[in-house]
Amino acid sequence: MTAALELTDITVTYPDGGRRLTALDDISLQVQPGETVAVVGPSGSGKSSLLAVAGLLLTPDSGRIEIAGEDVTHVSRAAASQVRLTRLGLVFQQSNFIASLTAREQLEMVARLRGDKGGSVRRRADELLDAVGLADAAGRRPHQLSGGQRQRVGIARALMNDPTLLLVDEPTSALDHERGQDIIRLITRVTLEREIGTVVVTHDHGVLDHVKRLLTLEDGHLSPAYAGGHGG
Amino acid sequence: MFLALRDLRFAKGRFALMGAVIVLISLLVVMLTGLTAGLGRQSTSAITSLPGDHVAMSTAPAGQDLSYTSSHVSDGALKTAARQHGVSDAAMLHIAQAGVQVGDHDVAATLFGADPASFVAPTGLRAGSVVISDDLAKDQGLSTGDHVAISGMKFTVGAIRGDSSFSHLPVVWVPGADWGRLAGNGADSSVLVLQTGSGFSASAFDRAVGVQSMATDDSLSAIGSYSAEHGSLTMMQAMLMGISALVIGAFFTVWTIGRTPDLAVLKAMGARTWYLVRDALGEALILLLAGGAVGTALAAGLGTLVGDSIPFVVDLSTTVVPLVLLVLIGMVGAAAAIRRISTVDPITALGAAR
Repeated sequence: MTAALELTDITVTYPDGGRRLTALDDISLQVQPGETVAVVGPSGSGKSSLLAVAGLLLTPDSGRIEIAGEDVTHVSRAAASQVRLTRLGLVFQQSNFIASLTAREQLEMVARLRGDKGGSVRRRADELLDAVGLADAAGRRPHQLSGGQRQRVGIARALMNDPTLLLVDEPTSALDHERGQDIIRLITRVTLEREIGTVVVTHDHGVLDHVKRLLTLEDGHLSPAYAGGHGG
Repeated sequence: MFLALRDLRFAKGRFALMGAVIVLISLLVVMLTGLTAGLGRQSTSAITSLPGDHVAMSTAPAGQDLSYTSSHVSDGALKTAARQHGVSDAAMLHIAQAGVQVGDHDVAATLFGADPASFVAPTGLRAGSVVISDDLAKDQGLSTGDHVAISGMKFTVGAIRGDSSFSHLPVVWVPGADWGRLAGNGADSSVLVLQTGSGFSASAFDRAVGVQSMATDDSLSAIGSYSAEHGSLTMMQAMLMGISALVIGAFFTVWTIGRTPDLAVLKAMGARTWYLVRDALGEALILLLAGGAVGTALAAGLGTLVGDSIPFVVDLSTTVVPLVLLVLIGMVGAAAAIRRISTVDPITALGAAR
């Protein structure tokens, strides 16, 4: 089976005063379709860099990125946009929504970026909102949604382009424990159902009972924490 | 323009404010354009409606510009002019300002003197009669057959012809034979009006006759009142256009900075810069067209209302043309501001980087 994401020997450094700070130190990671991988670490551990590299938002100093078997390490900016548009789903922290759009339109926007519109786009948006339990909220704008609902809209939006790889940034940071658990359950469920490879980056250890594969990221080093749990 | 339309609706207040500014600017620009055209017509219509295609004036003294009111051309020059290659007809036109006595009061007018037999003379001009403009006839309640007096000489109104004024004064055509007695005090001037055909060379003509000739339309700047007004009014219009570009640019700069997080998210989702730029330009175009159309309609309406008392022209060239210019220049301002979309880095959409 082709891995949804394969990172090989990735190193990322940032300039920091006169020297360079290592955010990711020669890390490798493989995510299979249907698999949810949680990456836990304190803030500043390089989680965001990991997500940025996998999302083709940041070019690593060295290493190789493959998405669905395709080497995309050195693609142009335009090609990276195209990969994000067609293969990646990004779930942003908290409420990264466009204030003027309703929940349904947030989803339609993704299709518009590819030049798709019309009834089928609308139907797909409604199906996805239904799948995340928000069929009733399709006409609401971001400020009319609760934190948990916003996170669900964010997940539905990331699924709009039928992605190979789902990258999730701190999905529980604005939620209480119970709602956080719900969101993680939702993510692992859609990952399994749609055979997506999913990377969840979080500093929240409490919600990770549902994830089979947990990695910790500390000082740029990625290591397995434990395998188990009972979820997807 | 999926996003543009929704943003316009969502941020109604902000866009309405900006739209109001565009309404006012376009109102001003179109009013000024109508007024410029109206004033220009008042200064030049007698010249632009002359049947000739070229005008020749005496060469201006060093350091002075050519001027209708300081040109003096001799009868000899007229004879020479008529013989030149490419000249099918030439006529002398005398110009002076005088008071025309209508009933018991004087009306300021520009006198045009011409031989009734020459091609420049309006139909109806005969010895002992004058031809007056529509405006003068309407203002003074004159009709054909009425009497007026100029410098104590009596004339019959022989014809009323067209909208014709020079230097903001209505034109009264006087037969050339009477000219010497009317304006013999040296305050008059004279130019040659030419009808030219193929083979006419302005430089050869000027050398042979000892004058300076030019196309009728190019001679308008030699009308003192016209060149002064036209210059300052045109400058005001240009400044207003510049202001609108700056205001639009400033608005869209602030607007674009405000939506940087949205733009970062859209780019992270795979939006091309060009898609976002196109969307934002569409937004600016809608704003400019809507505001500009309202302002232009208001100005045209006002202009039509005051058209009787103020010189004001409402036609395509004074409404649609300035509107199109305003929209184009506004789009330049918007484009300069919207350019910054390309500098938004999608990585800022991720949590820790924000």
